[in-house]
Amino acid sequence: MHRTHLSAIRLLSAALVAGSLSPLNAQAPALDRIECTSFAPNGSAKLTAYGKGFKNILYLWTPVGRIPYQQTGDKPSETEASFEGTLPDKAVPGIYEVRVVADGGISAPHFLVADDLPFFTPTDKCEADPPTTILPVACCLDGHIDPLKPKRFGLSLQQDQQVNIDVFARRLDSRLDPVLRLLTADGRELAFADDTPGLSGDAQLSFTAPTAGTYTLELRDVQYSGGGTHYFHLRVGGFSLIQGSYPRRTSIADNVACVGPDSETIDAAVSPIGTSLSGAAVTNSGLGSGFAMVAVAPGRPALEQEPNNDRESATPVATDLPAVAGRFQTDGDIDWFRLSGRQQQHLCVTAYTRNVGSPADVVLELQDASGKKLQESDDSAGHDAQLSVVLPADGHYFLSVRELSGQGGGSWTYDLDLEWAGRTEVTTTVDTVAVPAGGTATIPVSVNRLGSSNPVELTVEGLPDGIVSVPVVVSDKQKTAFVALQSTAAAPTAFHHQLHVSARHLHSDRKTPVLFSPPAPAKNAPVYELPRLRTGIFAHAAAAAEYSLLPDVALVTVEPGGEAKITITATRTGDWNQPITLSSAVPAAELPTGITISAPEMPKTTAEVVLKADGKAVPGRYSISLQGTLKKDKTTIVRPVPTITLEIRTADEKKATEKKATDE
Amino acid sequence: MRYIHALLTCCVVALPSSAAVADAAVEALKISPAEFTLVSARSYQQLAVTANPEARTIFDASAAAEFQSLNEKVAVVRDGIVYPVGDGQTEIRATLGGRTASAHVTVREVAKHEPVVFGTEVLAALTKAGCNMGACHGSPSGKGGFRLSLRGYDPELDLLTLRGEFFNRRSNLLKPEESLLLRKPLMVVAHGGGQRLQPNQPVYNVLKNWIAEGMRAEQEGTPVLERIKLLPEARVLRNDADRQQLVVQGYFSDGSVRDVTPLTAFDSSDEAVASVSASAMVRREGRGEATILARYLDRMSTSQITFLTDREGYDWQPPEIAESVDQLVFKKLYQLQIQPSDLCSDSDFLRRATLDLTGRLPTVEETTAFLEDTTESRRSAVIDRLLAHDDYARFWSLKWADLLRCNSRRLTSTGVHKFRRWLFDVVRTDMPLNRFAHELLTARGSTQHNPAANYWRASRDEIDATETTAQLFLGIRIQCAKCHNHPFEKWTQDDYYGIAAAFHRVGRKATALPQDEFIFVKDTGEVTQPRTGQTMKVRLLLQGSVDVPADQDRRAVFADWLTADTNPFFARSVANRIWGHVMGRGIVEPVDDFRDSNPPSNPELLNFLVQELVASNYSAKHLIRTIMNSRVYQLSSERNTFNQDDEIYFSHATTRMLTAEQLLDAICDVTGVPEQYKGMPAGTKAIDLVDPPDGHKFLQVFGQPQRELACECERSSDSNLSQALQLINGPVVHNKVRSEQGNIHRWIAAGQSDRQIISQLYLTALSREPAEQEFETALKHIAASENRTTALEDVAWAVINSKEFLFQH
Repeated sequence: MHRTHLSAIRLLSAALVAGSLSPLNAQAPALDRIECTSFAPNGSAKLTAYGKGFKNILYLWTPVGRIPYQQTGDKPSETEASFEGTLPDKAVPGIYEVRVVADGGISAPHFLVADDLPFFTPTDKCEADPPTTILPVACCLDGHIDPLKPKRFGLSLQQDQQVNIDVFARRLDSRLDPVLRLLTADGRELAFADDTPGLSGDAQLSFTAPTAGTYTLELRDVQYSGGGTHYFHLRVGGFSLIQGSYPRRTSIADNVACVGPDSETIDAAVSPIGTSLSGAAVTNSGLGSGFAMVAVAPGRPALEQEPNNDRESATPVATDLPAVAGRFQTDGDIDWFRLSGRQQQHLCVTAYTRNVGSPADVVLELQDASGKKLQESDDSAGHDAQLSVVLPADGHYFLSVRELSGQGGGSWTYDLDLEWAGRTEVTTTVDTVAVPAGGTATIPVSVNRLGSSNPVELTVEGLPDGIVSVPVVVSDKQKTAFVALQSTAAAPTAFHHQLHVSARHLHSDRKTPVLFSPPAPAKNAPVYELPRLRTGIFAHAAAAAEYSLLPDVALVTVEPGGEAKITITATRTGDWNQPITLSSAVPAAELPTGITISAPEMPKTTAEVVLKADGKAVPGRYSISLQGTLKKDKTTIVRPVPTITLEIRTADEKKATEKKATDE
Repeated sequence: MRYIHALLTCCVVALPSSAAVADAAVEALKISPAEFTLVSARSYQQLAVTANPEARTIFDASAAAEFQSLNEKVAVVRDGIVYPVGDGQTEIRATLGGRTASAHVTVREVAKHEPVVFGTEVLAALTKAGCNMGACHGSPSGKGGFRLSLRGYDPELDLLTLRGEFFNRRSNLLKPEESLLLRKPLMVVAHGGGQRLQPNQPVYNVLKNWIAEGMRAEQEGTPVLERIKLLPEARVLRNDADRQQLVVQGYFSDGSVRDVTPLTAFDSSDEAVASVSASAMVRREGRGEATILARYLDRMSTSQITFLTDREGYDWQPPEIAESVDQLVFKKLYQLQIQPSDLCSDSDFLRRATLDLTGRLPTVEETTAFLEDTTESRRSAVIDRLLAHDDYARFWSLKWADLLRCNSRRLTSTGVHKFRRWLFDVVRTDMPLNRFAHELLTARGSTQHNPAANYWRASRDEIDATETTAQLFLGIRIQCAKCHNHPFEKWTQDDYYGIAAAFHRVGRKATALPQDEFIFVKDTGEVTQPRTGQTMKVRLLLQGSVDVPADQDRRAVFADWLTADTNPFFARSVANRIWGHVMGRGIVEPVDDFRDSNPPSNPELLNFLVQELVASNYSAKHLIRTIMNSRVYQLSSERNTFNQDDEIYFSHATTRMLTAEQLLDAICDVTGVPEQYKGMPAGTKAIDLVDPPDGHKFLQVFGQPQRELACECERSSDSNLSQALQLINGPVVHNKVRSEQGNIHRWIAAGQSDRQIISQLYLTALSREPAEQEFETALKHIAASENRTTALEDVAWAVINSKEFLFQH
């Protein structure tokens, strides 16, 4: 995605949020961390959330069900909330996105490990040296690290007993950059782990006790920082250590290879956790599971076939294949693929590595049959690497994939999307949306096209009763669009609902999810994006807005050279009586060709908007997004108008349609 | 071992204890060179005459001998220099004390005019006269409107300047002696640089003749000077033998050998031992060794001159020899008539070894156990135990962290932790040092996932990388060659930018990880030599340029060369650095400044250490163990009459003040009050700091480096008044000594007697029990004080302020 474009839409949506949604979502709980005393697949879930703004907490949302809120103490705490319940049978070990749902809104997501190891609850802070808390050899625990206070646990091991230790922190969006150390009772270090490849900065180690005795397991931040945001999930036991899957993006129910520390692999089936995230677990009976997280993709990618280190031995890729995956088996490994393309075909190759947990940094290069380099890509804004090439002739093309620094190993994987007719990527920065009673809320989306000019239609799935959304057609010129959610009289006064917005590519009828594109990460924020590769957007009810706007028609039809008038009616609350300026929500340059909008100021309750189509207007169906702006003192409130569908039809088309309607 | 012992003992018996050269008869004479050819009328040959060349009474007779040419129609001799007269052959005889030696001379082409060669003669003359040195016209902006390239490194520019600048007003081709170029340095005309020339001397003549001949550039095919050789290469002169004439022979590309002595510049490595005149006469100034460096443009050669004086009462007492280190050191000491000190005491050894290996003081338990140990191998057992301890890795990784500029300004706060940890593992696992260097130099990827890549984060460009790498792993300070050929060394700009070419293609980019940087190799980018404009190939010192295939990492080619067993720099540099750390002084000192003019004080010893290092697969632990198990390491720091003035031959232990971190940790140990450092957990020791803490006055005052330079010199070892103030009444010492959580209060609370507490203090601070007199003094002070606690704190303060505590000895 082009950065400037992305920035523009972020600014726009920030303005919208600041102007309209923020007050409606002011009561959303803010989460620091959640610590589990149990969060077991097919078992109990007992958790405590820490943060602020905890008021009227309802439940903890998880992709597999709700965990009810349990009030502890005489009155609810504003900084702490407990939840207790069970995880359903279908739950599998893995990383789960969870959110605290309150009357006033929904928290930002937090990530937890659902673990089939027994949860351990220490009775002290585990900071003593030597440690006073002895961990069972098969257990897991949640916690956080305070500044300058390493956690220390005792581990009683028999001679030659092996124990595997895995700490999740960066993979859970924690600020903790974890370091593991195993020490003898007299402080001599026997094992150390930091930045295990494939774990996005997390650490894991395997240790065999040289003698029977109690060892100290130390867990700390690499630079001794800490606090509530430095949380972790620690696993200790005989489970398999997994450093990622191969491939890292595939379809549910597929099998992936789970990669271990020495590049050994164990096959495991992919089970769904959320709509965009799944897990592949390797379960050792009685020892707990090792697992890898897998991004959900529409189909299984084709895997590279070694040897393919040169053009002559390139792995052939079938025409129009949507995805391939590979890995750099050894240092210096280069993978070649042979593609067949047609002249003027717009080939886009998009790499996924670091954002799905691979340590690799890929460089893509496309050559024609003669060996001439057509394009090379290292970093592409928003992606690890991306090629976008109009193929100059029918024939074979060769794609090379190499690791920028020449490193390799079992977990050094890559996944490539291959798109043969250009690429249209639709994303949103909105994670939650508050729908005001009787009003409208919008989800801004950003459309990034690479060689594709075809329109897409945005639709919302999973709407709660009483909330309606008109499909939005995004024309070839549009880079921004707004999906409106309109609350009708049938809408319940309270709801919390996960929606999914999909983009249907009208030329191919292919449907892709609108991905959440997180805002630019804050300083020192983790980058492991796999858990955040989500498509769900949370909508919840909010009180009536300062004002709401409604058009008198949902569909208008004009002929080239003609015009249509739409009356917008405002419903105001309180003393929000100031004039409202109506305008197009998208820039004028992105309006359909030949269309202009004339929107007057609305002094009181109604105003008439005129849509004009000049002779250049292209027949077809479009969506018009209008908005109103009200200024009162230093406050500016921007509210959307529900989507208006615009049909541009020639006179003949209009006549034929009217006749058809009459006939029917 | 016994054999060497016996050998040294035999030598003592066989050699005379003293010999006065003045009284020694001339038993033999030798002329050098014994055979030579003079071509053209301008040629000449300096002769050096040596009396008793094979005997201990050897002396230079060049000035004293009488010379005679057997055919003065062929050649004549004046002041020991042979000049041609006519074509032919003859013999030159030198006579002294009734002994005669002769040299054979061939004279050719006397009638043929041989023009002065600009590149090899004029520039050499200007250099010899000092015209183009850095302080004069060789400075970047020149002097008095006249600029020459520094020591003639840019002949084209100099020729242009001399011939064409200001309409050639500096020279008068018709009357060469009227040229400003001659009149100014003769001080006939005022000259800011003073008198630099004498009329009719070789330097003057070269310049005058060149002007007279039309200031011509040399013709194509003119022989090029390939190397020079300074004769004699080494000489040991005893007692009254107080001078040595040197001769410089130039070897040219046409195979000819010519005397270039008059145009050669000379320097002495130690003016307190030997001075050298412009005419190549070395004179005794004191006792010891000096290296004379001869520089002829960018060619260099050295001669090792030793002046000895028999010492009254000196009687070589062969020490027990433990290993080869001892053989080589004691051989040198024997030669120089230096008597090594005795072995140090057990408590001194334990304290010294523990500080050297771990940076900390021995614990009371360690001290007690060691002092009670009566086994013969107790010292080597301590060395092994400490080398195997993590404390060794903690301390020695600090040394590397200093040199590799492990500071958060360069590496970020996360980076310093990860890099320091990696260094800790390197030391702990005894990673072969050549692999260590190779990993650093070829590191790539994320600096967080591969901390070695921080080498390239600290070095931001090829210039920095060139200078850092050369100093760290070649032991060469090559910085000068960035702007001009090295004035005192053989390194040229081509060498400098050739190394830079190996490092130019290092790419850096941010990653999504906080504070991370990704290091990779770019496939494009070249280095241009700024003077010649030439695109540089990767250059390996003393080997030349190499072609590196386009798909290969140029750094790897350099690193392969650097870390090969055959590399002439790496192992020497590393071995010397380790020796320097353990012994307090390098065999080459400074440890990262190898150059012809700064030779090793004991070359054989350095060679031995290099062999040991290579044979042990570059094991630092092995080398340290080898050094520390030697008797040399375990010598006392107390000197005797015959090693009083020795500072460089390791005849006694080198006393040195504890480093800033060692000292602060030691004070914390003695007082029992740990220091608190921002961002580090309680109990962190100063040697474990990953980053020099901001504003820590104590550490700064005692010389903790800020890690901005890849140079050992950044750690200051100078004493200063601030240090004294810190120790006497600074807050660190004061607060810790007086702390109620400290050892004194703790021991008092535990009911210990004054004597017990004093004993504990000495054991903790000095690794020994107090002497009875020390007990008495302390007890007397306590008895005289009103407050027992304060009095005991005073005793602790006094111990901390004692030299025995502050110094490693």
